[in-house]
Amino acid sequence: MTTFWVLAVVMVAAALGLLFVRKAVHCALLLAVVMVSLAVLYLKLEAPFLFSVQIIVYTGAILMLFLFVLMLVGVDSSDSLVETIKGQRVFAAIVGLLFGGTMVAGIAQVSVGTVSSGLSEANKDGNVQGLAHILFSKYVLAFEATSLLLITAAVGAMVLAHRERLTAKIGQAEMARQRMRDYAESGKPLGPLPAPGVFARHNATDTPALLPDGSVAEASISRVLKARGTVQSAPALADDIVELTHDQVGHDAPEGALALGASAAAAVPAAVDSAATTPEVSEPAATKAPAKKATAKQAATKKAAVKKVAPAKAAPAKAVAEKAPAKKAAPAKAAPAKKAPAKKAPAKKVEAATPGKWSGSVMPLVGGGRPAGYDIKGNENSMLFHRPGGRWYDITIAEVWFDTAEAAEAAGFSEAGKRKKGGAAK
Amino acid sequence: MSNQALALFSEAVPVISPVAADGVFSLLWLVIALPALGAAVLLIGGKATDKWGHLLGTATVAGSFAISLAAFIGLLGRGAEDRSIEQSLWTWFEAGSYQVSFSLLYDQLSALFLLLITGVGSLIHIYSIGYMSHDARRRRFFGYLNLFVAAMLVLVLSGDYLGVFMGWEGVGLASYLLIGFWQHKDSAAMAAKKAFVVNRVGDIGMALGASLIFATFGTTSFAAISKLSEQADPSTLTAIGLLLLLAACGKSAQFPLQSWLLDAMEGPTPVSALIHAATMVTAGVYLIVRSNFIFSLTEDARTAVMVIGCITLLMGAVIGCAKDDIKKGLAGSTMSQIGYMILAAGLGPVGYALAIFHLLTHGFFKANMFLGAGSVMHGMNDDVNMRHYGALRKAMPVTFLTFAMGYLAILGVPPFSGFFSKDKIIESAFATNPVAGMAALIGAGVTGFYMTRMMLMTYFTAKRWEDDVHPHESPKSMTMPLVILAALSILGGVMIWGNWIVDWLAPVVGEPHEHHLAVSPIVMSAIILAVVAVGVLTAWMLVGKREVPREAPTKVSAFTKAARADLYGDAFNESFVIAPTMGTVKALTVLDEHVVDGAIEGAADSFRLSSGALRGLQTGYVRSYALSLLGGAALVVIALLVVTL
Amino acid sequence: MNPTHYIVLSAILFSIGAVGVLVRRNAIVVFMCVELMLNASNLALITFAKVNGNLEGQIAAFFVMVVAAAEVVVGLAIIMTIFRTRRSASVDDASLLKY
Repeated sequence: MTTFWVLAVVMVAAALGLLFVRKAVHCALLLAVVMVSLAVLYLKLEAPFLFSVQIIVYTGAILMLFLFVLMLVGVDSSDSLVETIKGQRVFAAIVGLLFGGTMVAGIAQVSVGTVSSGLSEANKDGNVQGLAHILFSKYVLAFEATSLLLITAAVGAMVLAHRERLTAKIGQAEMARQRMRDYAESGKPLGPLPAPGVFARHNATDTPALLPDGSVAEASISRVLKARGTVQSAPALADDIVELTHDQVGHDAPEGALALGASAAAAVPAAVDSAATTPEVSEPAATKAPAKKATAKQAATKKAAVKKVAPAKAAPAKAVAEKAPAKKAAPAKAAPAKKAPAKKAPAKKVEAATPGKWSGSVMPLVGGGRPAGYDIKGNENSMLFHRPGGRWYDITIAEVWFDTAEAAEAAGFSEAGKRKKGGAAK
Repeated sequence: MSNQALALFSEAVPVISPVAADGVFSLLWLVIALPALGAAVLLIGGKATDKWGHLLGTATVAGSFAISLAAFIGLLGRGAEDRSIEQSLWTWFEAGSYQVSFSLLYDQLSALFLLLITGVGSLIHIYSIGYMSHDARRRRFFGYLNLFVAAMLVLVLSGDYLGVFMGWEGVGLASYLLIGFWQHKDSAAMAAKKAFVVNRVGDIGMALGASLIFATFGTTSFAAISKLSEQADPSTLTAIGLLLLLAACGKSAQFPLQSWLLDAMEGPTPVSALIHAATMVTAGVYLIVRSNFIFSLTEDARTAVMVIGCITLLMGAVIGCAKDDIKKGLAGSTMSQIGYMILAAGLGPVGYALAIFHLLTHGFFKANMFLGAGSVMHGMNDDVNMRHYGALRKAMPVTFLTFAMGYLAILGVPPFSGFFSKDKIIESAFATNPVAGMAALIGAGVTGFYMTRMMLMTYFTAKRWEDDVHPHESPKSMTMPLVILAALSILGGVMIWGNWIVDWLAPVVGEPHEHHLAVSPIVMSAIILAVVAVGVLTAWMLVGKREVPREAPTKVSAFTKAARADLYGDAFNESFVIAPTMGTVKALTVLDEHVVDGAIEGAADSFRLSSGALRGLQTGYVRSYALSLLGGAALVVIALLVVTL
Repeated sequence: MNPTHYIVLSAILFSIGAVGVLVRRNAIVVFMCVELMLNASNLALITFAKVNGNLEGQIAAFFVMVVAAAEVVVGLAIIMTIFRTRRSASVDDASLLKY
């Protein structure tokens, strides 16, 4: 009797859970609990065959089918628990209680009878044999009918699940022709899409490739990644390059390393900007490398390491300067300036800024320089702005400059790095 | 004819027992087929036949005339007992025991009609070639004319009431098409419609009459009915007779269905001459005479026929007196003369032959006069108002002379044809019923007045035509038929020579019994001529001696006004037929819209509203339905509980 | 053992399943609730088998299971088809057949 009471409580609780849990998968699990418990009760009621059938067919097959369909439909297709039909819940509860209440009351009123001899007589040759005897003699027609039913159900399910191909299958020749047509009409590249990842430092499928002019090749990364907002900014990794070269080349070839770093930076316009225009902007690029050196263990491993570098950037320039000789930094400044003469670097030349679209904003100077008095960089593509010293400040190409963060926010920009995870790219 | 039959006046009717057609008579179907073919070619052929259409149309009718003439000569050569010939063409339809064969019955009566229709028809076709030469739709006109001739021939040749009915409707259609031939004129279109509608009333009589005949005798064939009619119930025969009289009234423009004929003059003049004077309007007379085996056995129906005839002959004459339109004057005259025929037909066996005789002579002289009027109009720029004529006898000598022959004929001046036919009718009428005789006599006097008035206003008195009108004689194609018809008007009386026509028709219509007049026929004729002379003199005094005003005087007696308004026939129809009908229709419309529609739409609305309320339950949500299902289950459980506890 | 307890448990489970059909909107969950109702009835059948001392009730439960299996196969196929065309597994979305 204990078994019954324990199982009864468990079953009713699980069944009630079926009404209230949000996720369909949880419902399936709760149902499994009910079914297995029922199987145990069947055993107690001297039905060992049905016990196994309950577990094998119900819990094993049918419930698994449910789970498969759930997987196909989408595991996250959970109910929103807001009722759409007015009064449905209330009435359902009332009618359900009424129904259950009267049933229970009715059962309590009538005498179900007492178990006299049980099934020991019927089961004397074994439960399965007893069932088989009845099933294949008295109920053989019904049994055959169920076979018809099952086969019909199987065929029906196949018909329902079958999807008719509505268009002709596209062959290789047709695809090739389509590609040529696209090229002719919209200039879509004939070749494969550009591969992601500028530098194969890690499996950087989340890092877009850069075109020769330094702009991002949108086609090089997966749309899904972009939608999720987990795309890396290629320029952000530029400093890793510098760091890597330091690691590998060491101090022996600072010029070359710097040149490499600079060339990496040259691929990144923002870095070029900062290197070519003002010393204080180029400084971090140069100083980061030594700072990295201090944390060399973490560096050069993962993206996470890059994040850790960020605080280092905030370190006072002096402290950095102590570790990295200033004279070495100086050529670093000079080198890119010389190496990129094509860039019309309007160094130190303050030009009149063109007012921008928003109040408190101006357009970048010719060549991308920073207008005096405007420190906040705005990225119109992402609608993010960057404060000086921010994580991505240096590498950002400013489409617009703001004087204050408030002005940027007023213009609808949000501060980079302040948004929640997963909320990006919207 | 036995003495007993003589005593009972009308107990024995002649039995029609036709013999099969052979020789020339086997060509009878061609008489109908030729004009029918002409109509088909002209109407279906369309513009392709424009050039020669009128010639084809004339040729087909002339061909029919030739065959009719040959057949007539063949008939003359036979004995009286063999003169009824039947040509069975095919079985038209059969339903159970009722079988209608499309058969042609060619006997003495049909023979005369055939000659009249094809003969006068041919002349009028020839006349129309000239008369319609300036009309762009002449080919169509000839197509319609051929259609008419074919339908009229079906009417008089058919040996079965159903065949007669088909021809009856066919001539109605042709009449409608021809009256409205100048459909661009509103008046013509309206007149056509009016003629069609009024004729429908008569056609109902025809249809019901034929149906009653079928119900009574089980057949509609003339030959069969003539054998059976004596056994029929007299009252049924009277009913049949009255229904057939209604049919005759419609087609022959008799009172009270006379109103369409005057308006029908909107059609081209040859149409007026052929259809509305010589042939179609006499179909009613033909029907009554042909149905002599009905009418001879029912005194009541005959009396009704006689009364209608008397009323119409006086009405038509009076209307004719007041009309300034030459064609309408002639139309009034036509009404009046057909009244004479109907009156004669109503006299019974004694009058049938006379009615046909007068029908033939009237066909000649009235067609003659209509065509003459057309000729006058032709020369007067289609002006029909006699007040604009005057002194035309010099300008149109041939027209004048031929018209004068018709004039003398209709007046009944001996030895012109009208003298013989009309005098005989008046005599017989006096012998049968003095009142009818008096009416016919007075009608003759009035005829003398209005015809003389027409004659004087048109051909004598001072000329009143406009300066730009140059009256001239019509072309040969128009005057030639006039001359022939004038000759027939003069000589038509020859048919009564030696009582020929009466004897000729006797096998068909029955032997006339002897009638006894108080005075000798000579004296009777003198009296009639004196009355006519009074009419002529009155006209001479009122019209010939005075200046005829160009505009119709408005200060006239009430009698003249009534006559000008067709004795208020239209007004009567308007107020006693059309207005009540319209009122009923309006009332029914209101009833339909409010009561019937209201009930139906109300029911529909109630269903719509209640279902609109109920359909709110059909939310489309499976769970709502499941809820009601569970609710029902709960109720069942509760019910079970309540029952067991 | 008192068979009434089993029957009452069966009735309660059945009612819960019925209410679940009424309130859940995910078609798959609704289906699960239907299965719960069938299972509850099975429990009653097997209990009656025990009470009456013969196996007919168990046979009936066996047939119920077979039919339930067939039903699930077809039902889930229907849900799949609907989901494929409407991108939704909610029973309320398929509500076009209405006034």
